Amino acid sequence: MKIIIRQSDFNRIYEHALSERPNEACGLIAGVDTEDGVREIRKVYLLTNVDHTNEHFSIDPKEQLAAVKDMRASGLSPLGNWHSHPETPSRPSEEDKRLAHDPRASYLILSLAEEGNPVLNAFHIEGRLEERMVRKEELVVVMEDRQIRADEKLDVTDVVCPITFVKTKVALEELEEGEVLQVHLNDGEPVQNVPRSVKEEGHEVLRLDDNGDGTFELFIRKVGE
Amino acid sequence: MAFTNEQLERYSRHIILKEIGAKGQKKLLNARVLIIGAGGLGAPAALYLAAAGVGTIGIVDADVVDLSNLQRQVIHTTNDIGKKKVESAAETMRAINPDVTVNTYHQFVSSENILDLIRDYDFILDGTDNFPAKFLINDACVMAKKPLSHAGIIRFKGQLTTILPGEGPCYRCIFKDPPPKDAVPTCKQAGVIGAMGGVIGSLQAMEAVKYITGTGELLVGYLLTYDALKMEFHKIKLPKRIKGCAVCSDTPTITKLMDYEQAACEWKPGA
Repeated sequence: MKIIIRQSDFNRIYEHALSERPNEACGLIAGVDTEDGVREIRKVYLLTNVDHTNEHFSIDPKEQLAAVKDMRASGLSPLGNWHSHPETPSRPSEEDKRLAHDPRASYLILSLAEEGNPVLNAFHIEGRLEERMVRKEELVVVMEDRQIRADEKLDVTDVVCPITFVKTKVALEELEEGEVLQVHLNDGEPVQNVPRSVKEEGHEVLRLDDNGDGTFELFIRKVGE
Repeated sequence: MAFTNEQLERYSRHIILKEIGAKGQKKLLNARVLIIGAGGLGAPAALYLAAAGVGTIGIVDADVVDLSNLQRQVIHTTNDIGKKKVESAAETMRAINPDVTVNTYHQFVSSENILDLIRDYDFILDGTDNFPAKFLINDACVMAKKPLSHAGIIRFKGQLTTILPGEGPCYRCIFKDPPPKDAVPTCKQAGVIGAMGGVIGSLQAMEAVKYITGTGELLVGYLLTYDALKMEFHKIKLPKRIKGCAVCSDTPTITKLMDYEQAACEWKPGA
């Protein structure tokens, strides 16, 4: 499988891993599996390794739960996890293989063994406990987001639900089929409701970007009349 | 036409509906519905259509509000007693929704005025309480090719159908002629449970909204009956358009509107 990670997310993992040295750092990855079989990482979570050692990691269960909730709210699927190897190469240790229970997950391992040259690989691990099969996946770091050209922009940060969706819907009705609407919306109820309602109407949600300031950009492609 | 923020909020629950949307709401705002009779059926229908933002609503009634009306004609209040029903209804509708233009016609419908009354409207809602008016409205709507919601209520029963002239049976295809005078009691004689007007009149408003927005399936070719005591609805399939229907066939025998004699309604207090 081909996996895409944004350079900015790669950098966040790397910086976090450096700051956690000498211990292993860890976290989760979330995104979407596209129709053409590409796995797109759209969000990485930097979580606490409660083991605090350089040999293995355990994700803080509370943080894990919060991250999964956040994925659901953002319309993203859990895709797997990532952790760092502060001193060893980027490949699964016996312990990593043993703990890889989910054959659908992608396991990302970032090696810091060579100073200034971080190596990130993705692995697919399946099979019974005693005979795990490891396959390296094709990981592509993309410099920037795929640019989406919006035909129309809408700001709904000044209204509450359901007017957020009402305004989005009215704006979509003004567009031609295939055109893209970019909606600027608030975190919380709007970001939970608007993408879901738009999908229910049959439109395509292209992307939801976290602006990091409590607002999001939602890109919607109009489907049908 | 763009919505104002106030309209977006007022009609938000409509616009959210996939079947209505902004397009459907605009159709409602541009639509013209004529309600004949501001009584048990017309009152709830007028309230819902005004609330829905039907842009122009005409209301026809020659009566004034009477104390005995208030048990079911929920558009009028105790303060309206003695007022023309059309004025009282118009005031309530305007108060509910300033987007609505209300046209009032303080008159009985007759063969003389009915075609003029219905001419400028997209959908006609029959909320009258007597057979002569119902046949007259049917015939006029067939001649003018106006969609019509027909309904009737008495005691604990109600019924309605929707007539699209040329597409399904008309009232006369089902009931050839009015019943003999005094064969059927009117509401005044027989009584009617107040909420019956609410149920059936609201269903008429529903049909009007569906027709205007082009949503769902209309009651064309069906009669929906409601028995409140048994709490039963029945949707009865009607026969197709009658080939020899006196008014809606290709060779109609009724080509001129007529006024049947009003059934004598002797209401004796305490009888």
